[in-house]
Amino acid sequence: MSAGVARLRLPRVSSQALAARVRETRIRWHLLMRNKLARVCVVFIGILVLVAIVGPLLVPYPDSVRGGVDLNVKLQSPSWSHPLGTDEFGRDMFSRVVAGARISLSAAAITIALALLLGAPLGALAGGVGGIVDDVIMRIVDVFLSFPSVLLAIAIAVFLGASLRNAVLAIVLSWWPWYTRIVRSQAISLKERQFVRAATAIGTPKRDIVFRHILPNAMGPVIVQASLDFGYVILTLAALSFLGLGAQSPTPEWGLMINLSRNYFLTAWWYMLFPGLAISFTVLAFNVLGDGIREVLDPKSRTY
Amino acid sequence: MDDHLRIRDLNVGFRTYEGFRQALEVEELTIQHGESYGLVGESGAGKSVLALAVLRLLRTPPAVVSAGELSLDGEDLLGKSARRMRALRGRDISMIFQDPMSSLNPVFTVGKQLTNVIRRIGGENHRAAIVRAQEMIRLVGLPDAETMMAKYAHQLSGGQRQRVIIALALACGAQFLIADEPTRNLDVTVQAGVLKTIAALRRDLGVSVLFIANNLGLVSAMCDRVGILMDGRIVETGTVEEVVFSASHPYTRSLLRAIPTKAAGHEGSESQWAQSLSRFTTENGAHCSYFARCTEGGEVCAGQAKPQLSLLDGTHYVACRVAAATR
Amino acid sequence: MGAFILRRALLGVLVVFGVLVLTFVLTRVVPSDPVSQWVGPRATAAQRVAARGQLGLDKPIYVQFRVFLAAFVRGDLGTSLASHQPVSKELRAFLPATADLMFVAVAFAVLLGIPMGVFSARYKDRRPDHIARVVAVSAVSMPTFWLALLLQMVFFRWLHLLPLGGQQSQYYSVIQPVPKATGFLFLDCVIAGNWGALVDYLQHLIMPAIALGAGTLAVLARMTRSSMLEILNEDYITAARSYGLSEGVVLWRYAFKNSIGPTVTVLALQIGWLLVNTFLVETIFNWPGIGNYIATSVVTLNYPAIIAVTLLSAVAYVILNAVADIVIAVDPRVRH
Repeated sequence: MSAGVARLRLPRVSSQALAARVRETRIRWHLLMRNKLARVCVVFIGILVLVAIVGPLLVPYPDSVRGGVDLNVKLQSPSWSHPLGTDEFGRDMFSRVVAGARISLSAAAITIALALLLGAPLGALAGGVGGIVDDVIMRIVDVFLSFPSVLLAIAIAVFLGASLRNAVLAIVLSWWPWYTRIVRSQAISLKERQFVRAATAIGTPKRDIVFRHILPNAMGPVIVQASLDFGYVILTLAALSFLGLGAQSPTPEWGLMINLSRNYFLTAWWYMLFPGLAISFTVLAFNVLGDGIREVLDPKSRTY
Repeated sequence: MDDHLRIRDLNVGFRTYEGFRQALEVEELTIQHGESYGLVGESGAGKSVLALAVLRLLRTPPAVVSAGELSLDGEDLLGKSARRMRALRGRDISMIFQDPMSSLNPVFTVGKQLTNVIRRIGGENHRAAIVRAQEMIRLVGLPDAETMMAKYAHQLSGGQRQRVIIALALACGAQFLIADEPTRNLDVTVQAGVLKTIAALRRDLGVSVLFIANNLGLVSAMCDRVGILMDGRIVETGTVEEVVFSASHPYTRSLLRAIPTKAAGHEGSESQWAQSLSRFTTENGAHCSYFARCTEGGEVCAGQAKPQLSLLDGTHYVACRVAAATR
Repeated sequence: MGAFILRRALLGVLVVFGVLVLTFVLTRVVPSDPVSQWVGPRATAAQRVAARGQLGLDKPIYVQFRVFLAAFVRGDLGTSLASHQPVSKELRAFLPATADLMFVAVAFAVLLGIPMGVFSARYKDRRPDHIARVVAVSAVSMPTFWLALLLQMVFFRWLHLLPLGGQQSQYYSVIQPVPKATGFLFLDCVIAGNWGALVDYLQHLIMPAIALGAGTLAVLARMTRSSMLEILNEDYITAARSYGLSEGVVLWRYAFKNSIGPTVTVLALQIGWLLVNTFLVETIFNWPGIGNYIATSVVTLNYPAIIAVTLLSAVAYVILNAVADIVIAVDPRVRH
């Protein structure tokens, strides 16, 4: 029918559709901000990011961050000069915990970005091309998802050798298939949409359809999911560091600090307490914010 | 005197993300013993809300319910404790839900669901409950009670499910039954059978019925009296004859025109059909909510408060300025 | 139906094969030097060549894979680089302690987490719900190993209520050991009728089980809450209420029974997570189980042990998932 042809548009997101999407996002943001807890979390995460950026420059004992030793003040309980106490090498815990924010947040961000970079295009390829390509990619995904992801990360990290960089790589390798799955299901539904069909009809090469038309439009849900995974990735990184597979001493990584504190925790409670609180509150903020986001995105739970 | 259900000034609203929204504003609704009252309105008019409000089954954090009076057999329902209210449900007042596909529990057999309901009153032992359940199954016109008892919801047809639901509603001997669009999701041929069953049960058991539908034709066949619900308010009520033969509210007339009959012919009926079915935007404003769609309203209505129900003649009430003026 | 089961089973076999390939690749492609682990740092060149032969590393890669496969089928999981004992034998020795711990942790999580979720849903947006949600979201946000240390600090250091770690007090482990019958200490204590030892054992179990189960508890509570909320919105729940059924029957029989599906799926997924967390918890509590063994293996780079556990848990995962899918497909009530 001629109506079908007439409706064909240039295979681009029209400015109207873009405006609609922006409006929808703004409505959701508005709804999210009406949730008091979510508001607190956004502020907290904002402060955390700020601390991660400028904190290491402003800490009272920059030398402690780099691992400088001052045995005269080792294992001191919290005081005015050392608000969170000191560790067994006399390093200021406050400076180290503040510096840890940069490490945890940046490592988690890099992990998620790399997992997206690996997983999303594969998902677009699987969903967009279909057939044997889809089968092969998804069976590989199945294999990766058959491992408990942290266990796979541990195994990979063991073989790569212990370092923060390798811990990040290990988590990326165990985590990308989740994003492939999400993008694939999105891509399959996009394939039926008018603008993709139009692009196919005018003879756009398959590669362009998958990576120019499908992939950018399929990113919405997976980006939301990725931001929800932040807390989980921070926890996993800390766990790997705790097992000795992540950051190495004297890096002020929170999980590593807790590992080192184990020998002293019966006497120096502050040593283990503060890095743990830092991890917990950071992850808590991301999790509560994630719950808020999910609630806004799922109209069913939006009763009032 | 012999009022079974009495409602006065029932207000229901919901707190939502977008703010408070009024859903129901019923000035008066009375149903006599043994009477069948039909409530007609578009989807979204508040019919199901009314049913759930009477049974006190609305979740009250989002819903806000208030009433001048809400009584069953002279007993006040609103002030009842949750426990006393529960004792009343099923035994004195019960409800048939509209969607037979989702109103049966998928993990229990029909028999199990029936005996659960029957035994909740206590006293009945398991054997007696089974006998009573089979009796109920036969009563609602289902064949082969023994095998029916062992079946799960997904093994039944839509009509069979709806009969089971009727059996469940009546299993504890409720004398007041709310039927919320009981045939809405059924095939036309099955509808007739289910309606016949409800009519027969009403006759045999002497049950009073609040029959909810979106179809005036259906209600006029099943009921003694009719109320037209629009935007949460009853805008016209009276006996079936009064409302159908001398419909006074423009909205009622549009509903009547929407019934496809041979006599109605072709002229204009299609657009009116569409018009009466289209959901109108519900403004919680102070004005007559039909004004935007009304073909008869004029200067009398513009800018005026919502019209109240006023007596036309006999038992016929209408909430419309134009109709009241032309009486 | 038969075709579906066959297809699902075949898919499972395919995935197990993939798991084997991935694990094999992990051991061979990744730069690592098992030989020096095997012979120690002061070995001669000749010893190293001999070790290469012993470990089968001198053969072509596809032959190595065939050997690897054949060994797996035989149940041979390689030889520990640390003790030169078969890994499967070592795992079997450590299994009972971990099984006990995981069982108690799961029981703790299920018995507390599910009711928590149900009540949370029942009292949505009221005080019990708020409290339960705060507890749950805190528990998923805390690092397991930190929670373990916190427990030790509070219950051992401050309150002197529970032992710091280990499986038994010295009295029962050294001076008057319980005779070994099954290897499962709990059962052994019961068989021997040694109630003192049993109480002692349970005291040692409490903290590790809580530390291990807390995350699962929270996940179960959250899952149960959300699936209960969905079910409580169903028509048949309102209908059940309209028949005058008591709130207890509605909640636990009508709603809970329908909401359990997603919770069970999540629990199955949690087993993998629990296993990993035993690595963290067992080291902290010095619990003589597989987790402790692996955590030590991670530090000493005992690759075969790590690979064996990774492989086994992946295979168990695949089988569990396949069985769950088949059960769901076969039972008409779950399918609706």
